[in-house]
Amino acid sequence: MSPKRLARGRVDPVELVPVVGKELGSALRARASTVHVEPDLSDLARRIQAAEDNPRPRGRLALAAAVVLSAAVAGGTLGSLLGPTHPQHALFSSIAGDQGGRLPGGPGHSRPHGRANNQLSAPRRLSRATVIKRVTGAGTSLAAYGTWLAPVAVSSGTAATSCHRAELVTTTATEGGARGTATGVVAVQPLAANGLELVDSGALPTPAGRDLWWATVAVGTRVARVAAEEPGGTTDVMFPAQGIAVLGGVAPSSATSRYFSIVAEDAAGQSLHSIGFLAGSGQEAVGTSQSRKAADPLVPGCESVATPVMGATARGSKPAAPLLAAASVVSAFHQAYNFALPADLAENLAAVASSDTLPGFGQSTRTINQPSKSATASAQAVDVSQVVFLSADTAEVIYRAGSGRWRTGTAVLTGRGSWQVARTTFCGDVANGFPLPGVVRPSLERICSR
Amino acid sequence: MARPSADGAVDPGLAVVAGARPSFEELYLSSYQSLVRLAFVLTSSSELAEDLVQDCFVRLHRHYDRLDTPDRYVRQAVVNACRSHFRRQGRERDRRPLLYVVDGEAASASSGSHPGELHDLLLALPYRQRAAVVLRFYADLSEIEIAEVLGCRPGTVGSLIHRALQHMRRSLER
Repeated sequence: MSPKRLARGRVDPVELVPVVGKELGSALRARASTVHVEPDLSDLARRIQAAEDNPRPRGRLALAAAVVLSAAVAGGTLGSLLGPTHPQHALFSSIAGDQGGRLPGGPGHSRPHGRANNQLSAPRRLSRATVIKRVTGAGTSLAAYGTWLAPVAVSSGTAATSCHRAELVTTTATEGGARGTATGVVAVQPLAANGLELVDSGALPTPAGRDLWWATVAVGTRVARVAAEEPGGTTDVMFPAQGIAVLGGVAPSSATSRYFSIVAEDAAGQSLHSIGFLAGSGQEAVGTSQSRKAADPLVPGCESVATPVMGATARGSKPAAPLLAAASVVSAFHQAYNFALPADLAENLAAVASSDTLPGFGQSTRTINQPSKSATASAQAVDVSQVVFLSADTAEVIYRAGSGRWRTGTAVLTGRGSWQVARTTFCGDVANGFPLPGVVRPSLERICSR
Repeated sequence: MARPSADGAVDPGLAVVAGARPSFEELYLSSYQSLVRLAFVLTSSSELAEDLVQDCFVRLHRHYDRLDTPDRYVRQAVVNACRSHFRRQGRERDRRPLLYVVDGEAASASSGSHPGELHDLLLALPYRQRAAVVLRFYADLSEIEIAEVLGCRPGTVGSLIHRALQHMRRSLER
């Protein structure tokens, strides 16, 4: 319907609004529908990291920032105190995982994938990268993003997970205006060569009254082809990429839960393994447990499966973004317990809750910034094996220094939005013989005794 | 497990995950495309739209835990980011391609036949008028919701839309 043609200069807004407005809405939707983009979490993580590394003073804060900067320049001590206290200092460094300055998916990025070759080099920090993006023959868009969980396992619901090096895979499926996501964990311990394991699945109704379903599976090295089958026949096929396959499609509605078989085949087309599952039901797949190698040794660095059993279970709400929060917790522990020399205690203590209000903090920092020439302690690394969120602002953490014994500590969410090591945890370690470089122990003991 | 979103077939506005408050990641994954499309309608560049939306999620991440309605926050952030972009670039009408030169026959025949034409007419509008029209006719927001996004009174929204449509109509008549 065209707007009524009027003489030049004459306006008929009463008529204009419904005509132009209606057509405009349709035209804009048609135009917008030509834009197809996929979320890019790696890029988002990098931007968040950059924003946190370079916070921009805004408005009236600019003056305060200028004062702080002047003070920092004028007095080295104050500068050293203020320097490392950026909120969420290392939150996204963990997610971005730009080890060696490279970003996931960027040039030179080598995605460690122990599933395929058993050469485990999972980074100690989390990295997120697209594993698969594909459109099925029926037009369903599928994407899987992988996030490495280094030696950390994040609890979900009320069950504390065991510690594996693992990869969190988030799958999104889009079809005809419906979009679903599901997340599962792929253990790095390699599957048997013929292995097939369900990572996640889902099903949801589309606006057209059909069901969008999808399933993500991990496969062993011999698996060359994966097919999803239902009683009506094969519905989707994929050649696995990096040990993962994502299958999906649309089907007539059946209360958003459908039974599928997924069959793994080798290069010759011979069936190796199959599993059955109800997409969207949340039930375990049938047949999965047979696919993992029974005799696989634990992955080096994942000894935490034998570490103290976490007594805690999640009893409250979890953080809004548990994965990001877990990364922040891990970063806080690394920052607090990593004592490279000469030790800048201010940076360590910036990751400890309430430490900046302690009397004597500045004095101790100055002392440590002038290390004894005889100090020979080396940087002390810390391993975090497990994070269980007890509530939205408290997490229980299993960690250790070097090859020491595993301990249980607490992390808390600060008012600034970043996670820090609880003061009781940190000072408890100082008092109880946590391996610390000798040069820093006296200062930390003074701080913690106050 | 699976979580349906209201990312409807025609991408209507930005209704995101219904029900419980989504996590930051869920909100990002479920609303990214619709927000990029909204920004695209406002800017006509998909690359720019993606860039602006990513930056808006960076800001959202900073405040996420304190927001009751993060979906509204990020939608408003996207609209404001588009405006800021044009402000930075100076006079947007100098920067945007001119309208199609439409003669009488083409104008009468083209209405609805070329989605890009109305979009180009829209892009020639001052930003606030453009945003009001997009939020009303593309995102299907009420005048009260639009007023919230644009930071003005609901009555002003009606005025902005009225003037925008008048302007577009005149352009079509030329």
